[in-house]
Amino acid sequence: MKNYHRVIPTLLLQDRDFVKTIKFSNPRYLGDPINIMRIFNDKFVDELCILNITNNLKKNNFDFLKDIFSECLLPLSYGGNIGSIEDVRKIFKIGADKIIFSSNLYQKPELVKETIKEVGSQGVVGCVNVIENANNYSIYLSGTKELIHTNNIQDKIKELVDFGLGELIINFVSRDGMKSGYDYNFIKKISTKIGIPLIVLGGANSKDDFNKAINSGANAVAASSYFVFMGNRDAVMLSYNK
Amino acid sequence: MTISIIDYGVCNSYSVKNMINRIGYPCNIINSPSEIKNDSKLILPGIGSFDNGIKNLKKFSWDIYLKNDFKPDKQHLLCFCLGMQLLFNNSEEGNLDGLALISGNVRKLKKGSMKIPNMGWRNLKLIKSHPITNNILLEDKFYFVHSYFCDLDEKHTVLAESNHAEPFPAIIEKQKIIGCQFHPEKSNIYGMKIIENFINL
Repeated sequence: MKNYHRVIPTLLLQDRDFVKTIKFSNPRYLGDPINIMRIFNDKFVDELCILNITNNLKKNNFDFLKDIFSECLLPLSYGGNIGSIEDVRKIFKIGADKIIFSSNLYQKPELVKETIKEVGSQGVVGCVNVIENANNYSIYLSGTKELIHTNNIQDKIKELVDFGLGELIINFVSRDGMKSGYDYNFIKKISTKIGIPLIVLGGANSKDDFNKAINSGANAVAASSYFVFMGNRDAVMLSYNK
Repeated sequence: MTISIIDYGVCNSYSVKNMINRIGYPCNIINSPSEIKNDSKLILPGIGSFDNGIKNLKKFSWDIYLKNDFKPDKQHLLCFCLGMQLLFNNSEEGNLDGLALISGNVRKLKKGSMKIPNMGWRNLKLIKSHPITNNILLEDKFYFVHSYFCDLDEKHTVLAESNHAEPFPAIIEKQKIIGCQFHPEKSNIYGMKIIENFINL
């Protein structure tokens, strides 16, 4: 793959641990966040993405996040319960470069727009959770675990991008942890509709998957299992083979 | 020498501090011009939109300090991304006046076949030698994330270029001001070289 395309390890934070899920359920403990951040930093990854998936997360623990972020001398994006412009300011101040909005794209669009106005498009990433069911695509709301927009989701995604987002993550929830590859057809369709960098997440198991995603129109690839597990038995082993 | 990071609201001051500490130097984050010492080397980071940046500089009187009291021939100043853009006359991104310490305008990147923002790791093309780029090699990569670039009136002050549909300035100098369009504080060991070179100026 050309150096030009970013390869982004994505880490899921639950309470104070990094975990790996399957279809965003059944979290398995990976290790101490500070250690893991340090290892990925030393492996010189292109960029790191942290998604906070703590159940009923009411408030971010900024002191804790500051400690994790400080291990990272690389571009870092963070998503998870960013509910106010004060949260946005704090997250940037303690060292994140981009904020990821997911549920709040639908629940608090005004906050997303306000954030874009304050920090600029390049600092705001939209993450759309996509669930595929018999060739029918829906958007999944991770907080309330409900399906919304079960029709024409590509148009809905285009509408979200028009808020002024800097990047879009398409998160193939039904492929999370399945190692089945990304949904290339979906990537082909959506990438031509949006004018901002497209990142895909969910299902990657090989460099070949990365290449296929890029060739289908993605501008960057994100993955989790691929960077944290090794072998058939999924031994925890952090690696960064692009 | 004291290294002082100017914190004017929306900026990633802690990332800059982390990196300087990692290089092995102490530094402080300052909120007001009154905290500047005689031997201060200043760093102006920047994230976000042009008008918001100018508004925040004004909130803490940094605009007055930089325009009236700061001496670009005597004091070292290193700026990153928006921090650099704010020193220009104005920007296509906003309506407010810039600080006009460097003459030129900030313009939107040409799209061509590329997507905007320009985001990711890029090499530099060194145009002119300067101690700030000591030990920087052709294969070294730097992290860019921006939609606008600095179009300088004085082209000879460009030290390095990068490319996004067309070449744009990546490192510029004006007297003792150095500006980087990329984020050295997020460019790992390569960014460390730039910051260490600045400390050694």
